[in-house]
Amino acid sequence: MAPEPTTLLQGTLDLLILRSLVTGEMHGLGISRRIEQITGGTFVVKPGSLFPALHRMEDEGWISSFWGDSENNRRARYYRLTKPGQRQLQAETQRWARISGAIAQALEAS
Amino acid sequence: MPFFVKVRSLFRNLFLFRSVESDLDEEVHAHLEMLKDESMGTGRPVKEAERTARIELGGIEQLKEQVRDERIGNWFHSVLSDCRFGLRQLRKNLGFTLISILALALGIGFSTTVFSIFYNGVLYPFPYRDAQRLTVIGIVDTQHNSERFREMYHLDEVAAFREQAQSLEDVVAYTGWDTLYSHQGTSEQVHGCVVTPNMLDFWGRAAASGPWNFPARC
Repeated sequence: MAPEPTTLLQGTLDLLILRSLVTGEMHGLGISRRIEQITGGTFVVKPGSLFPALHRMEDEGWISSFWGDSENNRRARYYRLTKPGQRQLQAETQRWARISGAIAQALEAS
Repeated sequence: MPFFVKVRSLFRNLFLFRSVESDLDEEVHAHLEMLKDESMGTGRPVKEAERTARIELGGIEQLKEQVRDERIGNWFHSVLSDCRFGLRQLRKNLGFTLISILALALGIGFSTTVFSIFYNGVLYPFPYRDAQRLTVIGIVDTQHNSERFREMYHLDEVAAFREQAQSLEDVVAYTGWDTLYSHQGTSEQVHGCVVTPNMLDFWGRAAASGPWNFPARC
C-alpha cells in the first residue's frame, strides 16, 4: 500500500528538486515524478508548487534550463543542476541532516 | 558568481519579459500535454485523460501568476506595468488628462497661496514695520572658504555698517542674553536679548513698559 501523500515542509522542496536533478537533466513532469519515486510516494509535488520553485531556483542560478524533446517527442523545457546548485545541494543536505538529527534526538529524549 | 547570475536573471525578467512569458506559456502547455500523454498511457480515453491532466495542473493563468510572483524583479516589473497602464489610460482620454492636470495645478497653486496668506496673516503674522524689507547681513571669511557668518561683531563695526551702508536704511545688532532673575526668594531663568538702542525704531514699535533712552552713539 502506497503511503499517504504528505505536505512538504518549508524549505524541503528546493532540496528535493536539487536532489532529483543529481542523476541528470529532467523536465518539470520528470522532476515531479522523480521526487514521488525517491520519497516512496510520500511527497507529490503539484505544478503549482513545482514551477514557481523551478523558476526561482533558475533565477538564483542553482539550475539552468534549455528546450529539448521529451520521450514522447514533445518539446519540453529541461532543467539541469549547475555548479552553484551542487554547492547549494550540499549545504541544504547538511542543514537537513542537522534538523532531522535534532528532531530525532528530541523525540527519543525521555 | 551568484550575484552575476541574479543580475542576469533580473535583466532577463525586466527587459526580455515577452520572451520569458512566451517560454513560460509554452512550458505550461507542454506540461499539460505530457500529463495528458501520461494519463492516456494508463488506458484512459482522450477526453478523460485531458480532464485528469487539467485537474492535476490546476488553472493555467493561476499557475503562471504563481511563477511570476517568484521571479526576481517582479515587484519592479509590476510598478513599471502599472505606470505604463496609467500613461496609456491618460493618453487615451486626453481631455480628461488635461482637465485633471489643470485642476491639480490650480488646486495646488491656490492652496499654497491661501495657506501662505493665512500663515503670514493669521497664524504667525510678523507685526513689524516694513517686514518685507528686512534682511540678515553678516561677514563671511572667504579667504578660509568659510560659508558661515562670523558670530561676533564689535559695536564699532555695527556703527560702521550703519554709517557706510548705502543699500540699507538702518542696521541693528543683537545677541542672546540669559540671566537669573531673583524675586521674593524665588529664582527664574530668563531668556533675554541684548540689542542696539535703535531696535524699537527699526521695528517700528514702542517699548511695552519702562524707559527706552540711550546715548545716540550706536
